[in-house]
Amino acid sequence: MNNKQVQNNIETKILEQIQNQSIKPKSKWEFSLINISFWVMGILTVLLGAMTFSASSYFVKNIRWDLYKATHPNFLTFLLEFTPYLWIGLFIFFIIFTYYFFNKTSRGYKYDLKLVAGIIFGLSIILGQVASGLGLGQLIDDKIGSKIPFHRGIRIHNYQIWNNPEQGLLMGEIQFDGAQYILIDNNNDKHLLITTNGLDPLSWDLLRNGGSVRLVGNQVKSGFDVCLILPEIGNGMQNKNNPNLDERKSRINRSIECEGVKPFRRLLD
Amino acid sequence: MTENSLIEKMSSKTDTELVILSLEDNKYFSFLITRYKQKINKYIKRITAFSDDRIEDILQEVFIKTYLNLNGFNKDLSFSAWIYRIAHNEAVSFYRKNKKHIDAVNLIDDEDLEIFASETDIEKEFDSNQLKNILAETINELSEKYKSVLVLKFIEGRSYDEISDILQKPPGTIATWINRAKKDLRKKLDKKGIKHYE
Repeated sequence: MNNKQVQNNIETKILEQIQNQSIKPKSKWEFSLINISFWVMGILTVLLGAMTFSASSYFVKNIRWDLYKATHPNFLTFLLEFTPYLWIGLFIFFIIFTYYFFNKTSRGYKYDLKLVAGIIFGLSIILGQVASGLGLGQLIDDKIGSKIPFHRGIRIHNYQIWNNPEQGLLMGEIQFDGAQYILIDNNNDKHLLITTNGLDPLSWDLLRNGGSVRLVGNQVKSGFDVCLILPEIGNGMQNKNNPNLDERKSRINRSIECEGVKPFRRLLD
Repeated sequence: MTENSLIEKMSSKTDTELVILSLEDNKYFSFLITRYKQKINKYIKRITAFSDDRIEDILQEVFIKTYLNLNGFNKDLSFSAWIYRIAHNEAVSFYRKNKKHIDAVNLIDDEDLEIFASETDIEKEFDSNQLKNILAETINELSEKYKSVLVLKFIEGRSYDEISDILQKPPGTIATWINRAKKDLRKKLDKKGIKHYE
């Protein structure tokens, strides 16, 4: 049979196949449902992307960039330790998936990858900012982040690095018990603070006012000998309430006693 | 109504009208098959280079899938682009499974050769049979996507927008693929001693 004869028969063959196998066109709602599901999945992944952006944003804002010298030998090791890999990874993952789902909608393929990816990226950031405003970033990083084995939320991360009296680092809340100053850390452990007149004026102010602080000093038998008190400002950006260390250096008189305290020396370098 | 008058009446219907009628009664689907069977047959042959009996199997599958998905036809698209999309997907999936059964010379006929040579600026100083063989062999060496865009653009005469609907890629991507495909083809032909106009 030549190609022409085959062609002539094909209508009959196909109609016979349709009749014999009772083939019916899929219903309209099946197609609508598939299209709607892609939109729903796309919207869901944009929202999830926004959530991970707000978590990254919260994480980054709470890194004490200004104190990296106290905790790490150089900026690179600090950056490698404090990059929110999980949130950045998930953010990229959700952007890719949103693009995938959008592309699968009935006319999604018509739009350029760069344009669509840019819009999804922008939308995720805008919604992420809204989520941050609602405090979701903190909630996600603290609550969900803490349940993920290879991720440490920024609060835990900061605490693990700064609750290290042997290394000369402490963080927590200063209280005055009527006779002496103590610091209560996140484990509710109390540390007796040893203070001298050599502390700079801002450290004294912070000590007297109490509240959340970070301390650089030296652990000794009787307690924690304070070299420097740093305000807990919630994020690492310098502002009026946190005069930078250059301004304070000239007024810190503990250089000799604190010479052996590594974080102190590095911070004042 | 006699068969001839029905055929005449149906030939004046648009594709979309025939789709609506086919959904009411499958006998009208045969008019869509008649309208597209040759075009689709040629297109499948051009991108797969399969023999006629294999193409018939693919063609049958294409029309069954078209019938099954009639309700999914988006009326914003041309039916032609939509059925080509089904044919393209079916042909490519069949091609991937049966690559070893192809005969590259089936890719292009004499008419295609003329169009291809002029559209890709190939100098026709070779014997036409020899050129046809070399060209078919070279087109077959191109990647699936490059082969498809060249066939759709230069042989099927489709616009960027239609190719975009068939291959489900943005028109900008299609334009890039066409340029790259032409360059790739010329480079491969250069290596085989076939010159082209600059």
